[in-house]
Amino acid sequence: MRLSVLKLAAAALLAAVAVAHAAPSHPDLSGYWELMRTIPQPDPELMAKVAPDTALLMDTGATEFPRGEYGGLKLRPEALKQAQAWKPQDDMSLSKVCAPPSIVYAMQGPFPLRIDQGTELMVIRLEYYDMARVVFLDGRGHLPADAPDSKVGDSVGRWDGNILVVDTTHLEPATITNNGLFHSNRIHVIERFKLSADGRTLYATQEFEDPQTLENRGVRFLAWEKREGRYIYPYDCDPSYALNYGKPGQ
Amino acid sequence: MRRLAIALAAVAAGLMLQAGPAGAHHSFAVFFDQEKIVTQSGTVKDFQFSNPHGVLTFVVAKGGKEETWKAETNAPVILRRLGWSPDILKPGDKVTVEGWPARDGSNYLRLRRAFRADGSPVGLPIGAVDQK
Repeated sequence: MRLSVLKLAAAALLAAVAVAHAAPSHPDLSGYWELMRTIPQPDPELMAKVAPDTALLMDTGATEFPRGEYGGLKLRPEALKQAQAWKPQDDMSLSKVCAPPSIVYAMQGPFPLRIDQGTELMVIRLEYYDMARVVFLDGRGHLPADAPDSKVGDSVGRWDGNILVVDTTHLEPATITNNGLFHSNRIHVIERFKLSADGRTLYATQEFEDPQTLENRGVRFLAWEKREGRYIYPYDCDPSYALNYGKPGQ
Repeated sequence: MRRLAIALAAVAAGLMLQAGPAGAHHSFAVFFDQEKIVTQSGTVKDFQFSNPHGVLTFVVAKGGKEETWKAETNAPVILRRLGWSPDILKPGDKVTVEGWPARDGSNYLRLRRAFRADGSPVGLPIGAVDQK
């Protein structure tokens, strides 16, 4: 009897090992990543997957477009009108200064992120505004259309070879370029993540379309370096900063 | 060819961009003049070390009068990796601040770097974050 149990256990173990070997192994994107200060030339494999007629925005990291520059994005008339009427000083208020952007602007910012990758889901923590993204990798679809929007949206991922494709919807309206151009909640974002051969660099494209705001599509190319022994700090945005702003001598 | 055209156009556009210091919440290019650098020396009155930006308030003596200036820093989460801390500057400390002036001409600037009275830098300079 005892021998039979052992045989069964051994058989189960062998079966589990066989399944583990049969399961596709994917790159592990886990780790602490800092955006490269100088973004390298866009990765040809990732860029080849970008849809035609997509504007490549070159404002990644610390770089920012001046007023009236949108990096090749073609704004629909209403969005252009809104951007032209935008008053940046209005954002410097107690109620607005700590409002986080959506992942469209947040992912390209010069702040680190931490990825913890599992088999069923992945968590991407952004230092910027303490944002946390959950990317489901279990094959589920998006939330129903009437589910609430948020600044991180609803993300589902799948593997395309060694490239992780993350599809995000349900995003709240927020800035695209930090100069008066805002996306709507109809924006659809596709990100493709690829690990370098040595595992030390993480490349990504973040492609988006928003038929309510834009006539064409946009994409940013991003690159992060893996750093050991570093951590995400709490952002804990303090709205009282707005009281200081533009009020010297007080 | 189309992709090459996109890439070249983007590179050309990139050359015309205004690259501000890291960590901007609001648009650096909209609020500050990155073509100019101003330097002010004074005495620290207050140092607020919180995100999205720290704010250093200091008093500058000019011609028998005092002017209050404010210098906005990078996000403290970034400054911490550059050796900054909430008490790195205390009221009464003598400081020289170098930065980009506000476009509206007010006594407000975006801090590029700061020095103590003996000339030593406050924290590591912006850009040193890339040390491995």
